[in-house]
Amino acid sequence: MRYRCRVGASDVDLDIDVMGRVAIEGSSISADVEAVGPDLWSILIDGRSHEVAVLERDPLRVRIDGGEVELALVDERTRIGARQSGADARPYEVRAPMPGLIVAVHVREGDVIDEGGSICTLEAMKMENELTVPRRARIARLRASAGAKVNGGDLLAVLAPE
Amino acid sequence: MFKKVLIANRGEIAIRVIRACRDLGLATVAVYSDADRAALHVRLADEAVRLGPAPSSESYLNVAALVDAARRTGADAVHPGYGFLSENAAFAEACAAAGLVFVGPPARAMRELGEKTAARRLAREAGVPTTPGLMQALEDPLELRRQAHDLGVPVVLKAAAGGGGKGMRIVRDEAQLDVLIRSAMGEARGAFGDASLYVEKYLEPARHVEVQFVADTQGRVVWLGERDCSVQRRHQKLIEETPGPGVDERIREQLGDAAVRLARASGYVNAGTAEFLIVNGAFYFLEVNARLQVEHPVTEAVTGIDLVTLQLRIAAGEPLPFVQGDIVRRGHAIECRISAEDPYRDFIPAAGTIGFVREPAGPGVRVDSSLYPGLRVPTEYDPLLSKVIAHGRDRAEALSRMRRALRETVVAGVRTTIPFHQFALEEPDFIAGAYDTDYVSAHWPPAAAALPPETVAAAAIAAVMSRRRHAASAEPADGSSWRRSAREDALR
Repeated sequence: MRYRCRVGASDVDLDIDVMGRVAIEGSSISADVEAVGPDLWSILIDGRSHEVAVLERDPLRVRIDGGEVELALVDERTRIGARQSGADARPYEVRAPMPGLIVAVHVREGDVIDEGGSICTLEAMKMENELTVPRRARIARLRASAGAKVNGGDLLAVLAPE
Repeated sequence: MFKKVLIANRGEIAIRVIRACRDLGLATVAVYSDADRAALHVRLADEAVRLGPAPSSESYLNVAALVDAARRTGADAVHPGYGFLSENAAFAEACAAAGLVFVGPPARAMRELGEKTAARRLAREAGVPTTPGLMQALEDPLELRRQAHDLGVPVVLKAAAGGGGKGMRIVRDEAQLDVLIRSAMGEARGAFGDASLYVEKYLEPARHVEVQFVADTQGRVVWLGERDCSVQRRHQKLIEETPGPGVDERIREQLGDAAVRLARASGYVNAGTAEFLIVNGAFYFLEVNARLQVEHPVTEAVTGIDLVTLQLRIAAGEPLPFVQGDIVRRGHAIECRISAEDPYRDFIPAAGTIGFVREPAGPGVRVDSSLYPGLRVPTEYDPLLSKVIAHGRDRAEALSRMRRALRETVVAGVRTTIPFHQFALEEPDFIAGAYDTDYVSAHWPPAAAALPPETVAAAAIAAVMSRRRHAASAEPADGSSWRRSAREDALR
């Protein structure tokens, strides 16, 4: 499951797989999460200790590492739903969901592609992944190039409404 | 010494007084309004008496109900704390009339110091410098206008019967004078039933420095040191520390001497505080607070003197157990007030129910608090929830301990002043001790700082956990729910 989370002024993509493995901006991290009370978590990331306490729920505000920060969470389904309903007509960035190799690019800047059309093929973990557009859109900017290695979170393309 | 003390207050100060009574082996009676039935001070006292509905006027300001509660429970003394009726001479007299010892100054001293121009005259007669301005209150707007003009802007209008910033107006532009005189008079009439004002020169930038003194019934007066309380919003203090960063030994001695002269001139008994402004190395008398102060713990930390048990002993007629030469101040102490206020919205009082609470501890840290999980922060009263006090060998150690203490502190459920305190303790001017009464408006709020990536990651994970917890409220809060809920999530 993928989430996009706004933490203070930064936005990050967070992936959680069925085993509870976590990736931030496409890079997997070692996170051990322990609920130590209602709305209170101890989170060890690569052995470093973070405590997160929910201070307020709406909007979500937490205390973490001795500071306070506001959070907003959008999951992938909500985001796709919002896009499909036309609620979000702003430019949309396509980023690499994980580190890998761009093996092929199927579009050029200015192209209009239909929903489900592929922008590029990303090889990662010995699998080829097609990065598709969620709805009909124009390629406003293209950053992906065949043969390039990318990190998780790298910008591949910016889509604009047709 | 008396046997049973009624504490005519609420919140952290009521608990502070209960603790002092316990230390002296005295029984305690708490009082409460309907908003405070579950409050900590009610639970920590030996007995508790309901005063009335939540509004202060029907509960904590209700003299008849308080005196009646003391009589019914057989209390022989009343401690008023701070705020509410603590500086109300009529309450002190009502206690005396009912045969109760009032733990505070005599009603006569309270009256003399409570009328602000009378206090200014008293200071002048005692040879204590006052700010340039009127020594008599005026009810005639035209005469006030003339006097303000003669002083020259900036001036400050103050209610003669005043306190708490009510009826107070700073005038920077003479064209505004008529309007501000009218509004200050209206506010003073509403707050004190007395529209009379006085005007004094407005001094800025200034440091707000006060001196703690104690006086016994035998006429002995000792000053215990100063506190710098310049970090304020809306004329109310946020941070206090002792010694004052801008106070040298010469001024300290002069301030202490001035406080003692004011105490003697007013016939003062018990603990009191003389407030001064320091401008360019010169000091000017502001007023005497004829009661215990919120920030008394910093003085306790450096002197080792328990001011509240001392108040009780003085009220019982005991002599001061020390003379001026016995007073030794060790190290540095600082207090941060944790209030239910939103520091990002001009410190407006915040409402809410307290969730998770963790208060700090460890070497050099003291917490005087009214917090508990489930506390519904009442909107009827002062928003102060707790005070964190840090003490160290020197200012650097006290500040370092305060930073550590605030980092440990968690108060969920309501906005608090904690982010402001954490900001100030990292801010170069505050760290350098270079601040005055304009500190808050000049420095706060700061620009948002970027968070370390790992903090962002942990926060994002918590956001997901929080959503899951509240999407499936039956989920147990124990152990490693992480993997299971991740699986559930994938199956959605």
